Amino acid sequence: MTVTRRKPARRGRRAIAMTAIALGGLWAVAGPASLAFAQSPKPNHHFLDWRPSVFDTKSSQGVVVEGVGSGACAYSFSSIEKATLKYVRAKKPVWTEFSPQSHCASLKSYRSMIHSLIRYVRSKAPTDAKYYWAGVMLDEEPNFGFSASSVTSLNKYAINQTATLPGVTFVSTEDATWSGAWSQRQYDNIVRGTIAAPQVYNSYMVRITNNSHESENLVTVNPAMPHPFNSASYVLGRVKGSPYQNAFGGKKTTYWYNVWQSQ
Amino acid sequence: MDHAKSRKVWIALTAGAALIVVALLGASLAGNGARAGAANSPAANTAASAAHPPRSCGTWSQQGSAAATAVVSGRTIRDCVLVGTDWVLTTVGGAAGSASVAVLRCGGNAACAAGVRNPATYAHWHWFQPAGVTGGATILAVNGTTLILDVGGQQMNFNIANDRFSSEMES
Repeated sequence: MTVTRRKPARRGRRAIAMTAIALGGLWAVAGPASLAFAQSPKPNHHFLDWRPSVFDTKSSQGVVVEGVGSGACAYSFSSIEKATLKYVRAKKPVWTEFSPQSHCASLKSYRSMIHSLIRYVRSKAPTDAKYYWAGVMLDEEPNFGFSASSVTSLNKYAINQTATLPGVTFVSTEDATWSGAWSQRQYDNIVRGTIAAPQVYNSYMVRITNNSHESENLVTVNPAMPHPFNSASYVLGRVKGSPYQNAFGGKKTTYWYNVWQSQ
Repeated sequence: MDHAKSRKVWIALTAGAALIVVALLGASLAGNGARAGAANSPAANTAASAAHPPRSCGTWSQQGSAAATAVVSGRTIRDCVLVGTDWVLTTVGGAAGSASVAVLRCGGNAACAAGVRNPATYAHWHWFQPAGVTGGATILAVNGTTLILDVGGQQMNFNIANDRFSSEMES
């Protein structure tokens, strides 16, 4: 009788001890972000998007050249590549964004644009591009005319194109989904291997982001959304994991988020 | 025997707690470092003084709120921006064929454009959908009075000065 009473108590103590060790170890190794829902370290730099005709190096620490659909739509590919090069030469951290839409260009054309853009920027400013061109940002959404598997293959292509480049240049996915559109699993597959830059404009996207397998996110916020999602600090406080990190030619690693804006 | 096991459990608990304390101290120091980095960065200082965030659509547009539901019904708000003195909402989902771009004109009414109070108090929402196109809308960019939208997979312009959709290449 004594033994049967003591066993559960011992098991309970052991379970508590094991849990404490596991939590302590996890916290020590992975940092508080592994347990708390907040970006850690706290992002202290942000990218701000501008259409290609605007050249703004003052309003933010980094820039996104907003290329939109290009192809048969705005903006022209040549204006996008020229704007990117201008920021790179100005030593301004910069992403080049496309929103691939089937009505504007085929998947093959987007691949071609990515390939040409890389060749153009790297050949015109090989040294600065290595330090300041963050890479290609793709805004992919369920109603843009491409399937989840199509955009996944586009991302893989972009990853392969940038993988062997020296320096910071890579691929980010500024994606969004909503109820009844791409599922969590589809979202996870699409952003895998890229720097996820989720459009965290509502609770739905908070959930998608936190349930994804991405440990690092370049969180995209929209100051025009309803309170509390108009606040970067609120949004960043609800997304777990680490922010996108980069030094961009500086000595210190900096921690980033991304701001969409009406221009 | 029992005492020995209890001691082991106690040691394990203490070790776990110690790890947490060490990690907390580390995180605190890292956080201070990050803040110090931001404060010392000339770029960060520049950004703080130069950034002009667009006006928020306010709590009235929060999905699920009575005010937002009255406007969008079963649709989901995708974007919400103030363009000049006009509020613009885009939606996704909802009944097939439902319009997905809504505009409310505040005109000279500063309280309406301030966005704090539900603008439907001051004016009516007008819904738009390009002819022959169905599907949700996303705002991709705003250039003056021209919005670059994706509607059902088709990029197009919507000029809020005349409420017209167009598929011009450059705005």
